[in-house]
Amino acid sequence: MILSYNNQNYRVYDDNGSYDINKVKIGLTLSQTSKGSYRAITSEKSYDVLVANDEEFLYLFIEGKQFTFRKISEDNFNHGIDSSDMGTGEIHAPMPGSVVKVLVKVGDKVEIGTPVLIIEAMKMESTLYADIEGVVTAVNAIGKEQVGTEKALVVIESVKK
Amino acid sequence: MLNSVFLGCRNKIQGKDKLIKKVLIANRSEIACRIIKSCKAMGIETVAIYSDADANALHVKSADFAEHIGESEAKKSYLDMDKVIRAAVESGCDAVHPGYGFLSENHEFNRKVRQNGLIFIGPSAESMELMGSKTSSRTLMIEHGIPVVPGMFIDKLEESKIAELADEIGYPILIKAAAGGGGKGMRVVRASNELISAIESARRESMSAFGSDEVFIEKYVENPRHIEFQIAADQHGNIVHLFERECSIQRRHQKIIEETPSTALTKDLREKMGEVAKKVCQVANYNNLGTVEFLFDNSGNFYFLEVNARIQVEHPITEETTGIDLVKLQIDIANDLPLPFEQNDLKQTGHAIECRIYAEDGDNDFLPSSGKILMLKTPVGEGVRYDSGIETGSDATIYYDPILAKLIVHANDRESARLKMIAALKSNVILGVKTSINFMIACLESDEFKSGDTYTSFIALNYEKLKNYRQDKLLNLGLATANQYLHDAQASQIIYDYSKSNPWLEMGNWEICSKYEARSL
Repeated sequence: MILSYNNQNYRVYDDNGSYDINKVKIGLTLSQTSKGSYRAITSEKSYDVLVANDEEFLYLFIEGKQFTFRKISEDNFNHGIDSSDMGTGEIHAPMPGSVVKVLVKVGDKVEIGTPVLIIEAMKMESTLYADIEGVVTAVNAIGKEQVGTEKALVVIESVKK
Repeated sequence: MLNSVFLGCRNKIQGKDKLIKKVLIANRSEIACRIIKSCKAMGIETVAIYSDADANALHVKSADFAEHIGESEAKKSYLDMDKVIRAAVESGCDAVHPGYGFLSENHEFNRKVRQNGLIFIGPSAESMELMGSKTSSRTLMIEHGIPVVPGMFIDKLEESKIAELADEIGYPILIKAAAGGGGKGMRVVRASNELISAIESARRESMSAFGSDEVFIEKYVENPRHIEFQIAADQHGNIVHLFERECSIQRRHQKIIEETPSTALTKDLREKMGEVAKKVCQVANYNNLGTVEFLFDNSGNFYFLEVNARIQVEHPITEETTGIDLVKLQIDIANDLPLPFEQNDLKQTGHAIECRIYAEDGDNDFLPSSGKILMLKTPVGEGVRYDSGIETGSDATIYYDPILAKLIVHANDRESARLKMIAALKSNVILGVKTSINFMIACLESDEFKSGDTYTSFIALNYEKLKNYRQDKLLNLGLATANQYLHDAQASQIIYDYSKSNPWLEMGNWEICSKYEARSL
């Protein structure tokens, strides 16, 4: 099974209770205590691990530490690794909110880290930055607009040197 | 344990029939639930209000009655004075409790509530107006010899003049919203070329959070502690302080961990600051619960910051160490009762810490997180308190402040409280939305916190070190368990499918009838 966490993919094998992750064996005994609740025993100590899921993600809680994993199919595995550290040039809102100010216009040259947009969610302003160097080719946001996470608010095309 | 001091007081008011009987709580989430709890204990009926987004919220279920007051956006519901007041009048309330945030420090709302024949559970509109404007309260305090941080009002000044004033005060400079609180509309500026854009941004944020874009600038005191005093003043001229709370652990100028007593105060300093705090409220004719905030620098100097004219988020740590129910005290004062104690009657026992559980990603600059709470397990135990606005199935919405709950512990001493809090955080399971729980464990386990080196710069300085705490250590364990969970879920899916092939579901339309009727068909 392949799980993705923070844009990194992990291949997890379970051979009858013996686990290996990215081909490294890990020593662990797991037992289910109730639905979504596990007791994990490592050589060091035992942990309670709580798990739940929705259509998109798996959520875990281990003594205060949370993990959010996404299950991905084998087809996307290689693609996922290749693009893990590269910006896409498509700037999305990290969460639904409203646009406060658009800081760039089509044709602007931007570098990695150039502020492009300010959005507001939960009464806090956050600035979105360019994730690649290039030229702004599209701005799909206007002030005060309510936006979700799916739309690319600013599109940057990379400039080949 | 709480409120035994009030018992004597009850006798004095027998025969007075104008006591509050039904309260509208002009708020939501954990503080609405907290207020409902005290009202219930006092035999007072409660009316909750809710927006579209909160139709299934816990505070709505906890109240005796609930009134829908508008759309999800706060401006069209919780911030709409007329709707809130109409709900109070139409539901037959005799008082309004504003909680914190929203309209709680809006003197116009305070006045309108009273004009509609309702009791406002809080200070008079006049003293609230005075304290609400940081500029007018500063002026008053300077007149009365209360120490304040150098700074000035910059509304309606030209950019060049503002830059001149900033140079005069000297960088770094802090920009603050005059109507603000909770870090909103606040910016630190370290160089003159950042000044104007920071002011613009602070104005916008202040406008959207408080409906006012007035800001002022002041000297930024580097590496201070935030220490505040809880004040209680009645309508008969009596006033006491209920000791301090240290709230130095802040992100974006908003507190996340608070404790009392502060490790920085000696007995003498505590008495001195407490007296100054009382004086602050006296000169403003303040007459309910309030909090006087101070900046406390490395050399033991302290500067008056502002008065919060409402119940504070972090009030429970004062309750735990003094044994006094502060919401009940607010209501008693609003009922025109005299304070049931004098300064000398009050003492603090042990040490209390509060952690605010926010729906935000502690590992990613505290970015707010929204979603459905798929699982919630609340910590329990001796000296462990959970003030919550959520339950399993609740939504963390994008519309409001992302607070989910507050975890409070009380123990004999600071170290015991710290350890108790770590254990409690580790058992506060929340799945479905990101929280700052792990980040707060990292804070509490740091050497700096252990030794009481808590400054308002704590998170900014230690963030890189504290974030992703125990991530590498626990990742493999998490991945293996997630894998197992999916296997188990698939296995139970098969059982589920089996149950779907239940013959009752496959036989199509049918009805129960007797054999005689069946024959007649």
